Parts: sequence; C-alpha cells; structure tokens
Amino acid sequence: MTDRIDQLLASKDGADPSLLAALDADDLADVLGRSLAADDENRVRALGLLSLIDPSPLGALAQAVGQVLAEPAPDPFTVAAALGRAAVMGRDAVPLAQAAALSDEPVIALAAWRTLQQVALSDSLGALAQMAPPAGDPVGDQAAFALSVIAYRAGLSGFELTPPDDSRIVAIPADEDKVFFINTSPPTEEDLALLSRMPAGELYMVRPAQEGMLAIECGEERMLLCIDSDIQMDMPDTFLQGPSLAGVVTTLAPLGTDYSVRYLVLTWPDGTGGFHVLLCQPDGVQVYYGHAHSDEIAEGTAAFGLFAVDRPGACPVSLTPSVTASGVTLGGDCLSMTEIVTDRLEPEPTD
Amino acid sequence: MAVHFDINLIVVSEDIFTPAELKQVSDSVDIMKTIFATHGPVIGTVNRFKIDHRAAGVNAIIFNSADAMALADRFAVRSNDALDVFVVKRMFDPKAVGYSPTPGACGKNKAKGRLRAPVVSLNGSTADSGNTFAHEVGHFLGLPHCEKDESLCGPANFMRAQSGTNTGVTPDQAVKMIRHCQVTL
Repeated sequence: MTDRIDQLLASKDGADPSLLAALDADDLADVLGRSLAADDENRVRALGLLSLIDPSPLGALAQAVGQVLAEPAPDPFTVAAALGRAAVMGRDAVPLAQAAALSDEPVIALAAWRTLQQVALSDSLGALAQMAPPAGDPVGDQAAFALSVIAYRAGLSGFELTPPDDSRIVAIPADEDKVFFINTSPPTEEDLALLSRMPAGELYMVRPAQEGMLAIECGEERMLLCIDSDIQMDMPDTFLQGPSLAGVVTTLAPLGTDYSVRYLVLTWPDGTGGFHVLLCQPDGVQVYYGHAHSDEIAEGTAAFGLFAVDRPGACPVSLTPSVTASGVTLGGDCLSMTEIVTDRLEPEPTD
Repeated sequence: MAVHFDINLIVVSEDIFTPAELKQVSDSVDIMKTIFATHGPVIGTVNRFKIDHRAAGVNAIIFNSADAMALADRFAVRSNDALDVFVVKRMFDPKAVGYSPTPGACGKNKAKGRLRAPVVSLNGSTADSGNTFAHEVGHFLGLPHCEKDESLCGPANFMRAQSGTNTGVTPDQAVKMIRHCQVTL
C-alpha cells in the first residue's frame, strides 16, 4: 500500500495531476496488486488507474485485464470495467473484447461491444458482423451501432444508419422566447492540454485537427467539436464519397478535469448529391440530425440545418453548421430552448 | 420541519444489485444523512426509486462524465421536486466515483447543458460510498472542494478533493448550502 495510491483512491471526482505524474514503480506494483486481487474493494478503480499508468499492450494493464477475463466466476462489472479500460490499448484490445462480446452476461457484452466500437478497424468487421446478436435488446442494439461505427471509421458502406424521419425532428417554435444562445470560440490552451491526455481509444481513434477545432458553450456545458484531420482536409467532398466517422464532440467534466466523448459525428452520402450528418451518443441514441442537400453544397462549402432528434429529454436547437476544409462553423440563430420538450423516463417507485 | 431538502434515490439496475450492495446503498444514505444533520440542511424524505437493468441498458455502465450526463438526461422523477440522485453499482472512470454539477440547477425540465443531477457509485467500502453520496450532493448544493476555498472547511472535511471516508462538515458550509434553491427553509 503506497500513500500516493491511497490518496488517488480517496479522491472522489478528479485525480490530482501532480500525484499521477509522481507515481513510481512501487505505486505501479501496489495498484497492479489491487487489480489482481479478486476481493479488493477498490479493484475496479485500480484497473482504471492501471490504464493511466501502464496502458502498453504488454504492460500491467494488459496483465490485469487478461487475468480478470480468465477468472472462472468473475464479477460482471469488474469484467466490464476491465474491457472498458482496455480501450486505451487501442487495437490490441480487439481480440479480448471480441471474445467477451459473446458473453451471456449483458453488462460484459455491452462493455465489449463498446470497446470494439471505440477501437476496431475494418479487418474485424466481417467476423464481428457474423457474431453480432440481433438488434432489439440493449446488447443487440449496441452491437448493431458498434458495427456501424466501425464501418463508418473505415469508410465502408453496408452498415448505414437509418436517418430519423421528419416526425422525429423537434424544432424551436417560431414564437418561442425561452431560449439561450449557443456560443463558439477557438479552443483554449487548457482545452487542448486536456484533449491531448485522452488516449486514441477514448477518442474513438479520431485524430483531431487542431486547426478548425471548435469550442462550444451550450448553457453550462462546454464541448469541443473535434474533426478527424484526414477527413477535414477534404471536407465537404469527402462526405459525398462514403460513410465517415468524421469526428467526436467531447464534453468537459463537471469540475473541468477531463473531456470525454459525448457524441460521435457520423456522415454518409444520401445518394442524390447530398449527405446526412448524425450526432449519436456512444450508446447509439440519435441526438442531432442534419441533411445537406445537393443544392446546399457549393464551392467547397456545405451549409445545412441541424436539428434535435426526439427522445426522452430532447431539447430543440437552431443551428446552421457550415463545413469547409478549414473546419466547421456554427451559424444561423445559434439558439437552444431553455427547457426540454419531451419528458424524461420516470423511474419506478420501490415497493 | 427543520431546514431541509428531499431526495429521490434512484438505484440504476437495482435488480442486479446483491443484498449486500443494497445494504451498502442504505448504509451510505445513513452516513450521508448523518453528515448533513450535523449543521443542516437536514435530509428530509428519501424517496426510493429503481430502474430495472433491462430498462437502464447501457446507461447502467458509467465510463465517464458523458455517460453520467446521458443517464440523467434520460431519466427523471417527475412526480415531485426532490433532488434526483442516481446510484450505480460501479463507475469505470479511474479518476471519479461520482459526478455532480457545482452548483446544480433546480427544475427537472431545465435544459442548461451539463450534468442534471448527482450520479454516485458504490466503489470502495461503505464508509467510502457514504462520503461519495454526501460529497456529490454537497457539490450540487453549491459546495466547492476545500482546496478551492479553505475558509469553508475544517479537518477531515467531507468536501476535500481526496475526502475518502471523511464526515467532517462546518457551519460555514451549512450556511452556503442553505442558500441553494433545492433547500426548503
């Protein structure tokens, strides 16, 4: 037991960066020991700390994840945690997650499909498509979404999402006055520093183009729109060529300590000279949708309306993104309603 | 009644909690109530709710603060104005065992961005999770970490960044929390 690991385990909603930077071999041995001990009450968190300290494919995290997955009757949430943290290993996590995706335990299968969604490439797509359970339950739905994300990352057709129809689009009423402005600005040095600490796997293998990155203030939420550099250089034409995981939108944690991915930005051609843009949560829930028709694309620029998709907790926005090879700007009214328009789901009272 | 606030305790995937984990939830609530009872505001009614594992789906798995936002965006107790507090079995974020805005907003239908309600986990011992419950609710009621404002805190304070199993609370913190819109005078 080292003092530094004890201090990290005592922290509630953020880790002291100076503490993390000071960790040494004794700390690594301590946290590895806790990760390997099936009865350690901090095991899940220890696995997480390992992913920060030694995420290399042959390192301590890989050793601990391997042991957890090999245990005869592990706690499902511990396995899920191990699979989730394995995403920081990048492609090396794919075989582990692929095997675990077949688990009968939904928590394990969900975590496995999510890790695959984060890091798997086209070479795994065929095998994963064969083993994916049918959509219709949480695991099947997550698997279907994961296959789409992997295909979009690779630019492959055949797994396109179904765009929401008009009945699912919610817009701000014309006379609505309960609105606030959505503001944008270039990212700050602090934004970029926090983003640079995110492993590729946590960014869904998107390599953000720093030039053109957009900070978005929506009420009290601060987000970063991060477009993949390879995709940005040919925008918007690249959106007409095939599906793409164009980028991610990250959100700042409540205490400003970290960014994490809030939405995946997925695009695909509409077949008539335009393209669809869909922002989905990592669980596959569709949140914002836009359709750039062919007449909205000219001279290296595409401009189109982006709308909220109806769901529990939906909140309409009025935005007109403009897409060029320099990045994305948000134009139009840049408004959000101050209240949701669709009720959230009600939990059940306990007897 | 004394200056108080009410809570909706929403246990996510309750049907897969073990009896020991359900006891840890109840014991953690007791620890939280004890902390707030020291100087107020006291915790009034604790309404218990559950979300079944199938209904929660992937929202039961919290990898990061974005997942916590998705959970609190999707579910809310609409039948009363008490503070929703979500409890999950585990969080997989190496840096966090709970999340909350500081301060949180009142009004269940407000769309102000950011996290809507505290989301806490059972990571660690019961004494750990008891502190976690109180710590995140403290953030919601406007308390910063002690390291941001030492004048509010004393030793072993429940709002230290590394608060572990701390239960200490000060009258100054109580005064600050009592001003929050969630508190009934």
